[in-house]
Amino acid sequence: MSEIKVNKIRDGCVVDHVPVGRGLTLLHLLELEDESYVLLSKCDSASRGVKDVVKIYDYSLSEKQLRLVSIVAPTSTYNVIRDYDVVGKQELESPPRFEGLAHCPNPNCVTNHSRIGSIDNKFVVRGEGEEIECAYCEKSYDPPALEWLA
Amino acid sequence: MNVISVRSIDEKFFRETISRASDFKQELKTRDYEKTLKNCLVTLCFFEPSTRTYQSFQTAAKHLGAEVNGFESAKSTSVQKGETLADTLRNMQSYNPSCIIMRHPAEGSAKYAAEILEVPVINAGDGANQHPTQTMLDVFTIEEQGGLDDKKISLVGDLKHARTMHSLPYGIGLMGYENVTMNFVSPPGLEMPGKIIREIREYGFEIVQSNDLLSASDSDFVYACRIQKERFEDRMLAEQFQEKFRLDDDFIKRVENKGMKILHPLPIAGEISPSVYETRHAHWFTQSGNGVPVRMTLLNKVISNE
Repeated sequence: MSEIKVNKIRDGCVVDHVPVGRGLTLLHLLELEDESYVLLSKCDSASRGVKDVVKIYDYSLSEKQLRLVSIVAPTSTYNVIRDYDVVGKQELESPPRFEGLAHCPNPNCVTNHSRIGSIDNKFVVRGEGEEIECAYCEKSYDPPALEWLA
Repeated sequence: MNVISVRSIDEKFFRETISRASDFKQELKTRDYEKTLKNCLVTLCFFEPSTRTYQSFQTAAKHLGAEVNGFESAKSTSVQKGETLADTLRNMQSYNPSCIIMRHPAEGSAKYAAEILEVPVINAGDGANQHPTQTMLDVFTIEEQGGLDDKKISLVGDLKHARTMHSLPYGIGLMGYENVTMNFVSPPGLEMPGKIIREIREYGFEIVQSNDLLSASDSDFVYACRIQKERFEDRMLAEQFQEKFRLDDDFIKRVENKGMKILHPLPIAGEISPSVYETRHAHWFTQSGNGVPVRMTLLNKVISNE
């Protein structure tokens, strides 16, 4: 396979060490509109064998977006780039549970029933984010299968 | 103290319940038990019908001297007028019960009830998710027949959809039995979900999966359930599966373990032939009756912490 050269970005952010296959999910969830980005999939990784990488030009992730990344790509590293330099680096850790970022896709979950009352969606993160379990109906999903809220 | 899911029940609590239930079962024979729940009110909120579980809880509560109120079906409640589940439960709580026992078709509904109420909640079945007291009586039945150390149990039928099949392996795991062989027998496509198999591996079971009913013939226990025909678009296929996985004379003739006990959560809908009812293996009515001492124990523990 021939090498592909991707230039460093001048300003923006890089989400590195994304588990393979999650890069596309991340981009979908981040809901980037006018931003330019690069997705590198199945790159060599000295530490993990293979990885995905997402580079976004002239953009910084919001707190909510960082939470999403920490859930969907819990082993990743968030790098802030200014003038070609890494000026901030954050190793992301998956929270053990989270609320409100997604809907449970199970139509028979109490969170999707009419005439229940006030109820927030709650989830438990299993393993290293391989599965996300609804705290109510106990069904598990791959992160892309959840109905993430805008 | 809430009892919501067998996956989150404290191990010590579970084992104590199983152990104490055998005392209650003996005491029931001689009516020699204390009415420990006098002046207590047990509320049964059954938003969908259930003959056995409702009657069993009601009987257990009355044996212990408690008053019982509530409803057997949502048809008799203000749910018909559009009242929310939260409002119905809060209204029942306003009558000052000692605990609320709830069955509802929505999965996770008991967990939700436990969050919004201040009284203990016991889950009597939340959709296709959990039915922890059924698991308790199933495990109690196994325990009173000698337990599962160095033994084999086969779970037979629609393992994909049946909630009792999903819960039982966790209940067995909580008892700490050693050297258990767990044989999952189902038609193709109705196997035990992978998530459950992954989680129960931590209990150290030897896990076997088969599409052949005869793989259960050397078991110490067979736990059967119906094929849920209503989930099949092809009803002929469902009938074929039921035929192939029916416990009938042919299966009984091939049973290698003469002491095998056949269990079933009831109701039986054709997956066990009538002739099997008369054999020494038929144990499901004893199993069903065990619901009363188990639920007496549970009510005692939840309400008065005994």
